[in-house]
Amino acid sequence: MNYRSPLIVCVGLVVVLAAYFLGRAQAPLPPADAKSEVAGTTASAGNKEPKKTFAATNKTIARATSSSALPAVDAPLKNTFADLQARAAAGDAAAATRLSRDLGRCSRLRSSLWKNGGAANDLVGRKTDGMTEAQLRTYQILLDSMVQRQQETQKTKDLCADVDDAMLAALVPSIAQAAQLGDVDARACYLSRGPSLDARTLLDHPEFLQDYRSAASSMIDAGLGAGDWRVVGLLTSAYEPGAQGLLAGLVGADPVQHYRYLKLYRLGAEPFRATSLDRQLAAAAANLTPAQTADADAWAQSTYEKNFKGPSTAAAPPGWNPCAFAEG
Amino acid sequence: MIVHRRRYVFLFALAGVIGAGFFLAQSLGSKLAGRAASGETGATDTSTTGADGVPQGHAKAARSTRQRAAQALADSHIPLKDRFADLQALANAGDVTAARRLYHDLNLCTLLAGVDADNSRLADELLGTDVGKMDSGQLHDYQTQLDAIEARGTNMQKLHTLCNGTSRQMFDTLVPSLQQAAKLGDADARACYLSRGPNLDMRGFLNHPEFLEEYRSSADAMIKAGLASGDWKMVDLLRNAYQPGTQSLLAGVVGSDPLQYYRYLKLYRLGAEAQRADELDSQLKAAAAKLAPAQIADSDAWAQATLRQNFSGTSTETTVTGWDPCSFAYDLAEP
Repeated sequence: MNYRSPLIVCVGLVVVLAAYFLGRAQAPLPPADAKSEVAGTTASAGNKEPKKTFAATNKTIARATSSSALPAVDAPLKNTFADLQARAAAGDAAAATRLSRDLGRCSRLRSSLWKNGGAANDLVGRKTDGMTEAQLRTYQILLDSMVQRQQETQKTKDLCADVDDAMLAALVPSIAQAAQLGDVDARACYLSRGPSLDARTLLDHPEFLQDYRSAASSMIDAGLGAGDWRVVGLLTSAYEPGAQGLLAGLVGADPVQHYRYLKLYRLGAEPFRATSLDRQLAAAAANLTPAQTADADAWAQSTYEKNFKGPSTAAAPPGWNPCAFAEG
Repeated sequence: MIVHRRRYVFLFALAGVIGAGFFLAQSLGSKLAGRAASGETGATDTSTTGADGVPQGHAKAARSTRQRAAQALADSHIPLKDRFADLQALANAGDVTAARRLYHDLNLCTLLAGVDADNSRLADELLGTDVGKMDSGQLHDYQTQLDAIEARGTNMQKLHTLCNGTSRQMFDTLVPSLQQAAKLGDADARACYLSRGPNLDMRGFLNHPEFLEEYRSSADAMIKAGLASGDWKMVDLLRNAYQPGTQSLLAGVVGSDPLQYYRYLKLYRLGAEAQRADELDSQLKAAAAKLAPAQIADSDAWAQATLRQNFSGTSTETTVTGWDPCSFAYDLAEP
């Protein structure tokens, strides 16, 4: 009788805890862009040696059950870095995206400060004597824009205070991590630029090249499976004769593949782009046999019908920058 | 339409430069071949040039080397694949002319597929142009463009002869060839290599990540050589690499250093043309704000002394805004 009471209490506690964790595991994940009302992070400041969070597998993604909210939008990165990195490594897509964006902002900060500082000096030093009323109005608008830019820059400075080079070196792995967890912007950027986005860091981490080589193929498959026109646009360019980028280096020259992706891109094109793309297709087809062209046309048509919708040329227009979010 | 025509004119001009360069290279190649046959290969290593008193076997080897050099450096109508091994051997033995020729031809062949595709596209667009509403001036321009296409076709055929059969393994040596030429004192190769390094050929880079370490280990000596020889390109590359926030490879090698940034910016400013002075003075002022007065004084003195000792000409004329350190890509006349 003396043993049974504590035993019942223990069993009861186990049942309650099990129910709690089961419920938590099945709770919906927060949206990727969720903004926390509470800056409740307890992460320690400053990882000196940022871990490579790059190799998260589908298993870890499936295991990810974190439902805790992201830190407040302007929470200093030095305080949130370790926590975001750990969560990203465990498969938390929202944390991975947030980390990559914050690191992108901080990576740009030094050059932004330098450029904005120079522009501000030039503007403030400009003589206004002799300006017409219209010129003065324009000058006032420029001054207002400068003040606004400085306010934005101040926010970034607060975000990035005491973020060291070791944290900044995690930019490319963080983009890769976010891409692997389904962040489509990160995927396009990583496929397009990979480690060359931060050549400075690449010097100390040549293994990033191998990481890129290993990860790109599954990202391409995921992008095509998800109907991502940007991936189609990147592949069209990469297979183009004489293409020089990292993705081109990876996939290699292949006239058949070039035609396939160009054809797929053309199928989704807006009417005003059609003539130019048809001309490119004709040139690409000139290097192929009729059988190769027919096969590629059939593949493009079925892939288009199965996975894609919306206009390709709006999602990936000529000259678009896949890393605009990371480069500002 | 005006924009399109400008584009055509630009691309024709580019093709013209390539074509003209090709023929100049042929003519220069003949001269080089002549020089090579008479023992003037431009080699910095003269150990095989057959000096008096050299044993018979060595003399024979030297003659063989000269013959190979002559053939390798001869007219560009000999496909690169047939000259590649000899050029590489000569470059490795310290022949700067061969090293220069090798990276130049490799780079051209790397670009050829893209140029070819652009040309085809351009020709298709031009031939598809509706000439019905053109006035006489436009028709004249159009005829000029058609003539250029025809002329370009002949030149492109010769370039194909040069590049046909160049293997992936050969292309992968573009960056090492560039590096070798830079090490041997080729100023154009040095500027390009320091600026782009292994990024010049991403495909080769993916296959050879060790190029990164080679870049790191050779950059310092190249920088010193460039400064000692009064190379304004080097000064411009350094001031950009040290500029806050730069994320290039060279920036990764030299690191962040406000003092160095000020020094090279000051040196560049001392050699600048008058019309760039205000802009550079403004940058200097901002750079000086981070330094102590003694550091500024030291840097100013260093820049003045270095200018007097090593440099001549104008910095801004050598490195106009937006210059491309790897622009030799389009200039076949250079070797």
